[in-house]
Amino acid sequence: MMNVLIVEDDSMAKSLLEMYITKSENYRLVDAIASASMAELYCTRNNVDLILMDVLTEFEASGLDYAERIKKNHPNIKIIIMTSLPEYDFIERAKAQGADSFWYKSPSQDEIIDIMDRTMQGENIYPNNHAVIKVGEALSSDFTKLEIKILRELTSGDTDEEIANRLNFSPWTVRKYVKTILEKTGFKSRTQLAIAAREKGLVVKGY
Amino acid sequence: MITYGELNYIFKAIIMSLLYISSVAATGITVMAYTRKGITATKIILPVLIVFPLILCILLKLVKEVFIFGSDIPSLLQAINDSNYIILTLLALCSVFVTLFFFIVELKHKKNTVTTFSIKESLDNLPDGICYANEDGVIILSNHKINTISSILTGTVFSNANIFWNEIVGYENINRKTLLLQDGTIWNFTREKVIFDDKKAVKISATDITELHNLSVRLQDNNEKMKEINKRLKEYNKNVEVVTRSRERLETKIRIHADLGETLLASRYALAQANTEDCMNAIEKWTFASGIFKEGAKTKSNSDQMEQLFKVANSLGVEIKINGSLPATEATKNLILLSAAESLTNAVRHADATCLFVDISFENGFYTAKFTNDGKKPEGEISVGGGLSSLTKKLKENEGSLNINYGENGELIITVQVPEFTGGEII
Repeated sequence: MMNVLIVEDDSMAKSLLEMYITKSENYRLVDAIASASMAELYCTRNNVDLILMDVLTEFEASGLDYAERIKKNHPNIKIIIMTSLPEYDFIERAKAQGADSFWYKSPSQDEIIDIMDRTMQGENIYPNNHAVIKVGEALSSDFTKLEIKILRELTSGDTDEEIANRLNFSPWTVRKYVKTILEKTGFKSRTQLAIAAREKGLVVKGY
Repeated sequence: MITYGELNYIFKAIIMSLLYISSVAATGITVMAYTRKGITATKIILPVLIVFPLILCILLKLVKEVFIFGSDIPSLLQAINDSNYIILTLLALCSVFVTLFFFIVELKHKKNTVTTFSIKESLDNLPDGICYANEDGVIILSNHKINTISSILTGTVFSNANIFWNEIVGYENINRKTLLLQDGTIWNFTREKVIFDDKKAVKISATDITELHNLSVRLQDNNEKMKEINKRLKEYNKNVEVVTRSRERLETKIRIHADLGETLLASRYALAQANTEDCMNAIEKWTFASGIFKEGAKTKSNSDQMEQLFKVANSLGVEIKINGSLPATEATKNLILLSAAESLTNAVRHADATCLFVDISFENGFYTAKFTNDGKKPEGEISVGGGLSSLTKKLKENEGSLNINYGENGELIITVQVPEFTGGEII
């Protein structure tokens, strides 16, 4: 039996996962905690083989950031990053930070158990495509990587100069990209754009 | 009736007139050419071809008429009649063409040459006002526009640049002033020292900045609006977590609802079949679904969040003692709890602590949380590693701060300051 730790702040999703694991033959639920900030500490004193790690967790702790730390200190622990948000950056960051697999949450028991099995056998399971959502009149797949990057920064509420400094661009470049994104989405203001992008989960800054 | 002889005279007279007119014009052009510096073709060719021969002709004519014929001077018509018709015609044509050619050359040259007059003319056509004066204010050069502005501002065209400047700047020792004129235009006046013909001079210029000023006012207005929007967007961001989590929860609910549809169908089938095993499966599915929804219906409270922290701490054999109240705002509270989790990690990993003390206070819009523990004291300065440095970055992004100090007994004190976020709503 392999010990599984769930890091999930949503009680419904957590119950769902708890139920799947309890019913499964190969896994044993050791605990379910709400914040990724406590996961590493938990692993220090407890025997954990696999972590099902949400990205947005309690106390605004990023599951991706803490996955990296856990992998560094406990390289044998397998981590599956899970989210229901379509944020483009999550998959790339999960790969870069050493997570073993990535799962877009779904209520399918078979799907998650299959990913868990294959991950424990040493496979790395990542979705082939990003989840596609509609923001204004544009699909998320219509944006370039750089446009997504600018859009993510735009949701911070910082000025063009501050964003430009952070990304090593000129303010004119930032303005040019914002204009292009506004044209693609059909939004009239950058505030509308920023809120729509953030609320749809296309870009989530700070995780 | 005009006789043939008279026609001959008239024709020859016209040719002679052309000859004389072009000769006089050539003389004029030569004189004009000699008023400017340098050697030019006009200065050499025109005198050689026309002016000198003309003078020579006149002299010869005088000699011939005065000294040879004495008082018996032949009439002009007679003299013309005596001249060779073909030579006269050729001379007249050559003279006209040469003169015309050099006239065009001079005209072109004049167009491409800066003269005192052309400078003045150009300055007068400028939309801006400009004036050069010596150090005493005596005007060297000024244009129409600055004279007009002077009339509007002082009621008279200025005669001394220093007096004019002092009047428009109100006798302040400044070199730049922006003024609103009675006609509603806005002018920017500047004074600067220049070197003019190796002498020190003063240049006063007046630039119409009405349009620029209006644009600048509009830009400033837009920037203010943008700042306000950005501020509200920042505040909104502090609370957007709730929206994001709700969205995630909603996604889960939608998926579970889809599952419920299947459960319902399975239940109907089981009841219709009256199969005990199917019924048991259906019951299990309903129990499962109701359990999930029961969990989902629970609202998160402060104690739940704290319980999370206590739960993990207890599993590690650490007690958390909190003095003070947690912030009411979700975003502020989250940052304090994140700091508590990081301090707990630090206390367990580096100090083998059994108790983490958290002291929370609120002052001047900031929550301060001090974290200490009963574990081993650090040996020397501790370096801020991955966890604390990530936390510091996160706090900074949220206008907060993290400081590491040492108590009287050398114990580690982690102090976190977080502003009280008021939250925001985008309209």
